[in-house]
Amino acid sequence: MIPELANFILILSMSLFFGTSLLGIHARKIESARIIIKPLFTNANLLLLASFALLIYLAVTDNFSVKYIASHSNSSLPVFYKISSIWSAHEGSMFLWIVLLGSWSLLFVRNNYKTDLYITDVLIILSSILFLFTAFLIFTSNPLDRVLPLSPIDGADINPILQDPGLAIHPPMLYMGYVGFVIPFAAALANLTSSSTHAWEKSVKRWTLAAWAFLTAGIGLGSAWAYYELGWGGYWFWDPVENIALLPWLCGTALVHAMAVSSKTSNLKAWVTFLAMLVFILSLFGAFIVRSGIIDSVHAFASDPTRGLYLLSLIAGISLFSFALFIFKGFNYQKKVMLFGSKESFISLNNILLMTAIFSVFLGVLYPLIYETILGPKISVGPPFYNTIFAPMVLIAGLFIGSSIDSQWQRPFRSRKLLKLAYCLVLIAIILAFLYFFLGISFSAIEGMSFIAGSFILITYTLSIFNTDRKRRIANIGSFVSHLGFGLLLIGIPLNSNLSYEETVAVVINEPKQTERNTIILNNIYEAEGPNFSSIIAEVEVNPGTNAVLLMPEKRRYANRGQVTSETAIKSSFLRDIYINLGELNDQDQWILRLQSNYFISLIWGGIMIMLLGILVFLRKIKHAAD
Amino acid sequence: MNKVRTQKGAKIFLVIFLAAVGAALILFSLNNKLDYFYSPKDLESIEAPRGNFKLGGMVQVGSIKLNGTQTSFILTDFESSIKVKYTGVTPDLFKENSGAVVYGYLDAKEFIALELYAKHDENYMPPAMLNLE
Repeated sequence: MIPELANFILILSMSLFFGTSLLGIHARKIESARIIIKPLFTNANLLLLASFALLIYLAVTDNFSVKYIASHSNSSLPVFYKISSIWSAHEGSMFLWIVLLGSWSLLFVRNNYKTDLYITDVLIILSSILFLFTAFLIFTSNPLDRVLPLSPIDGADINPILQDPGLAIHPPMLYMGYVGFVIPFAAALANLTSSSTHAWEKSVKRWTLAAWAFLTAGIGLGSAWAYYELGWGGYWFWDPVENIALLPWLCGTALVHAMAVSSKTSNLKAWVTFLAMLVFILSLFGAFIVRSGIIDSVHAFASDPTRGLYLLSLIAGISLFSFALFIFKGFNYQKKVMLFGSKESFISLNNILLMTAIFSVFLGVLYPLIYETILGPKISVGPPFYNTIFAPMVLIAGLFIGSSIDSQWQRPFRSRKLLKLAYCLVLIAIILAFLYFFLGISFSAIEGMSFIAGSFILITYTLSIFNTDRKRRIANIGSFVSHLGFGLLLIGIPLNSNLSYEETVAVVINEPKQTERNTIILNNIYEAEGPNFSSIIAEVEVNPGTNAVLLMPEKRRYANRGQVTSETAIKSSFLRDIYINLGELNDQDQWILRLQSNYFISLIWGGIMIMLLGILVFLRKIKHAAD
Repeated sequence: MNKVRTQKGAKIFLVIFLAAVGAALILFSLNNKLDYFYSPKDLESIEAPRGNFKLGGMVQVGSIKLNGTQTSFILTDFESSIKVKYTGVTPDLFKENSGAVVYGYLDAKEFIALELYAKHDENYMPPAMLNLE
């Protein structure tokens, strides 16, 4: 009964979204009709939420007559995982995606008390998008479909890899980021359709920043999840699914920076409109790539060509409409002169770099598809391509960011600054020489570029704290902190890639094994029982003696699916993570162990966290300014 | 007016020119960094590729041998097969009669894998491997 109710509510919500957009179009001409569209939109969203709440209820109460719950949950799961199992596969993920899209939209609309043409158009756009996606959900991937009359007694269980707190947090965060970009998208579009003159980008700035913060956190969490829980041994693999999350992130980065320019100097207005459209379209593109499964990836997603086709036509339609509108109406702005060396000139240059990055990643993701269609052979584009493309861009970006710290809005470059920047570069050269001669670290060209960029940012930013010129003091703490975080990240990445190493050994109990740089002893290995799995646990001691580290990697076999997962054991410190994976028992009755020494991972997580902290500080500041 | 128009034209031309140069550079860089994907059968018909490439197939039943830290197995597409050697810890989902993709190079008649990926779960198959089943 409840599944039907949830389904009915969902269909009702879809119809209401449709009604809202139709009525909205009507209300563009007839002002008296405007008063009703906002309540309609609110109710459609509340129905959407109610339907999702019912799905959660069904999952928690183990209603296995619902096909989706039957194939992705199990009665023996803790409640926590019963809930998170909802977004462990396609249908439920899509539902969550839409619910979050609706919630962002609702919050934005409720925060705007006007009833002018602009907000009417915003409502039309938001409800049309929500209608199209709820229709997609209902007709191609309904999570409320039932298995009747022969419903299973118990569910097939969640994939053990996904039975992890990482799954509960990472996808919702990521989706919050993706769909949050619908706000600048709708606002930019509505601004064009309503020919409004008000500063739309100011009113959506904090929404955009919030979405960008969520996306940053979502990508960071995904990275951490792969490293700590999935045992992939690294934090970034340039896999297509990672790349398509990076696309809206890069575009969002360009957008928030360009927004600062357009609200401070009223330059770049057309550009901001374009970016606001592009960022949401790239988010949709990501959903398409993931859900259609047309690109090879290490990420596992069920794929279905029908869904892919529907999504593709949806995205094509939305993009065509937006860009056509932009071409016809997007350029009616007065231009101002941009002085070289002013803050806005640096941001513009960085925007160009970011666009190049977006283009390269986009090409890298789609190239295998194009290549196979035209030339035949199957290919894949791996890390070497992205590293080579990104390193020079990161270097130039770093130099711009560092040089821009004491630049001002609409003021030209001061040539005496050049000397200061040159000193910074000399200092970096000394640091590199020190690393080389005293610590034996010699970076590759790619690593070097990132390191130089990172240290240049850190040095110039740190120096600016001591700036006595009052005019040139740090004006924006949030941005200051974020860029410092970015600098740390850029230093952490090359140090990590340069210093980290991996060793594989085969060991028997109590026989120390000497590798090139470590000593490993398997103290003990035993079996244990978990709640829904049995496991083999190894007690491994690395470098016995003064620096002894005891680690307990584990292998689990889950009863319901018979699937095996490895639990990596990690000992973290600022300098180095010792990371051990337990392998198989070989034909000579030795256990295979993989020991990784990952250096400066802490700088990478720390950098991301500091970036996020900066964004939050900035958000608070804008909120205060808005109140 | 005309002058303004010529300037605009020149600007547009410059942008297109720069974009084209950029795209050409990226494509050039791409072509040097592609990994080709073959099946064991392809290796018979084509000239053995130099350098590293990807090879995908099914792990033949009973062929997995673990010797020291080295895992060896036979990768097959049910028409041709090839022996693969990999040093390191195999992924959790690596098992016989299921899909695997290896990245590495040919050494005599054997494939030396530098990386080993396994099929994700019973519902999932990388698109490149679908035609193998």
